[in-house]
Amino acid sequence: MDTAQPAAISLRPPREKVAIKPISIRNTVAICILLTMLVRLALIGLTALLDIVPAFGSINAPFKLLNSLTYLVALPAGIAIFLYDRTRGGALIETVTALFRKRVGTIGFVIVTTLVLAGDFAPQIATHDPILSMIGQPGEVGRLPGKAPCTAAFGCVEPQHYLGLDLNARDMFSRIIYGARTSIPIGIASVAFAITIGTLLGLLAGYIGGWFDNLIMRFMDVLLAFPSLLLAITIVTIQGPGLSNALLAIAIVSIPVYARLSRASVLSVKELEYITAERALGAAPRTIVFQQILPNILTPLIVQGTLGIGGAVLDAAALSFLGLGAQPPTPEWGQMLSEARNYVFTAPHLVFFPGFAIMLTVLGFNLLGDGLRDALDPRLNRN
Amino acid sequence: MGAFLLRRLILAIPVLFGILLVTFILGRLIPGDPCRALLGEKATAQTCDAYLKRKGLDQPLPTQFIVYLTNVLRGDLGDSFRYSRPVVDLLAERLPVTFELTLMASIFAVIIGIPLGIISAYRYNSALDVGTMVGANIGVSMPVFWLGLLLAYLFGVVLKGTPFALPPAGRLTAGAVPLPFYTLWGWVKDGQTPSNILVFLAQLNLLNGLLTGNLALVGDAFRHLILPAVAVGTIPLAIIARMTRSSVLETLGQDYVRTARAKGLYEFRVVTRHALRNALLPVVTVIGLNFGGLIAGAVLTETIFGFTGIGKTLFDGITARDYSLVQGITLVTAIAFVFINLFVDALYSFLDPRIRLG
Repeated sequence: MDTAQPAAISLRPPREKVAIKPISIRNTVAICILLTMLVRLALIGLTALLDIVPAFGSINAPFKLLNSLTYLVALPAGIAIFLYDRTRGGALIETVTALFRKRVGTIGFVIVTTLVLAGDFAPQIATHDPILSMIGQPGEVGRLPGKAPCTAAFGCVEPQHYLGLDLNARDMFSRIIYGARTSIPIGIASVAFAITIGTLLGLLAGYIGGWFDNLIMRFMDVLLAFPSLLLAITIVTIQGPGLSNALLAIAIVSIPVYARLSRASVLSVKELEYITAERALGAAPRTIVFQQILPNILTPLIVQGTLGIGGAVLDAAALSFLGLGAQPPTPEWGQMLSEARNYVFTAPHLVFFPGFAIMLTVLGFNLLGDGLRDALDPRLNRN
Repeated sequence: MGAFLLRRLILAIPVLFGILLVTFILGRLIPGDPCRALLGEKATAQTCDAYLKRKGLDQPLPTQFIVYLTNVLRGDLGDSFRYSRPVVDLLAERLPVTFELTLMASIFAVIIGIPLGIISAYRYNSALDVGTMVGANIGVSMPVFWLGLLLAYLFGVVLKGTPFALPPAGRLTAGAVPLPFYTLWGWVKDGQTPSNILVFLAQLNLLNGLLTGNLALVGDAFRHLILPAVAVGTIPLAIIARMTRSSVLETLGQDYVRTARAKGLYEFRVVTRHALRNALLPVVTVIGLNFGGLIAGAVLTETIFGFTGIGKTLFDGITARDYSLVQGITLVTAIAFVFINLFVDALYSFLDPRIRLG
């Protein structure tokens, strides 16, 4: 056989048929659900992100359509990814199985899924309109605002409000459920924004090096020198309060974390032999950076990003609590806390439930992040 | 040591310069006319021109930055128009409140978090360990302001009348006016304005109480500090406990720990002197990194507990659109943050002599 003149040199081995490992039905279902949720989370983040930049309005339209079709898109996409991954050796499936093997990751995933579903199906779950005041409604006349929870299961016969009424006599349960629609997209979108910019900066700084590296990283040092929430507060104060400004501010202050992380990974990957080989083959720097280096530094970024979503949700709630984020009457948990803070001694339920919702969301993403870290990179396992 | 600190100080200068540049730029990003933003909508064109000229805002940007720099170096952070006072005077009065609070919070986090982490690591996988880790996971996920409100409700309302009741608001019992030590000692006569440093020190209730020998005041201030300090300190506590646990777990598996045990040392000594000492380095790093979180926590907690520290001031500044106040507070905390990190670096060498300074 004549091998003297290969048409093109490629380091990649020819694609072979990989033996498809058998997989139990239970695992299949679990993995499909997880992949579906991942697609759903990505859609949520993308629409929220494109929503804050007016110029992207037209680009966002198709995504909004996808978003409204939600699970009609996410479910087939999840199953498609599953099938595709199976034919390619199942690297993704293995990771997911590893995630579910740990209790931490499973609990985190269940919490996040529940909250996302609650947000998506809020109109079906909520018992009342989250913005409509109950004053003057049939059967509600004469109620004091901030009425305590009333559930038939606990022997309450009046019109039921599982978590009570808030100061404007709005149903707390419905407001909390609708709140998931605000907090989760903000968390995901701000992290997505920060990861994109941060990774790009880190990649370029690490790969180009020299004065460019110095310039970028010194600027990141300066940003890191500010306590992050304080910098976010200053940015929103100047830009004006509002959800999209809060999102941007949180994203901006978390860019340095991802820039540093990706730069450090680039520096360690850059010197590996396969990069040298690729360079010797004459690959363009752009190809090397985006096709060879980027995929190999993604793991720590994904883990850090998932953990970062919890922090972003917390920061967004804090900004709303200070009156800088969501504005009334938007049902947003931090904003609800802010409204109720002066009534904590008379109507503690108004404070308890929104805060609990925030905590649950943050806990969910933190546990999911911990689980992902264990699943993706056993070396990073700190415990 | 001195040479090391000097070198680190010099290295910090570019960062400090960068911080000044960022706060300056943030100050210029105020949408619209800075004059109308500062003087209000009704300002006439004449007043505006005069104001801009007086503040040097009609100069080109680089000149403005130099003016800003010299002002900051002279200790002039501009005037707060909400309080009609220099921002620096406000800070001298209110920074100590936050300082006291964050200090108490970090003490709380360290004295509970480190022992908890050690015990968890020592009794690895026991019920106590699992409980601590679950608690730590919940702890880091809690919004500070929520925890503060819950604590205020629990200790201020539910436990009212029991010995466990704690005051849910204020720095001192209403009506208590502490006598500043400088007046007691005759450093500052009536009618004179004390210097900002004296004001700063006198505002530290615990210190001022001790200096004036008023122990009742110290006790009162302490009781008022407990709830906010617990609220602010909970997240750092959870992080410290987690870090201590994993760090001690790692050192407990080392050969020298086995050797120490083989020598017949008491278990307590093995854990505290051999394992803990070596495990502390990452813990110190985490404590240092957490000061940003502490400050953020203080900002959110002060408004709940009615502390007029910089957090509350910042909050008021935001609502009143008092830009120079917000800018000044951001600047001062960022600078403080840089110096705290410097201090943590210096602490490393104390904990681990192998780390060469420099």
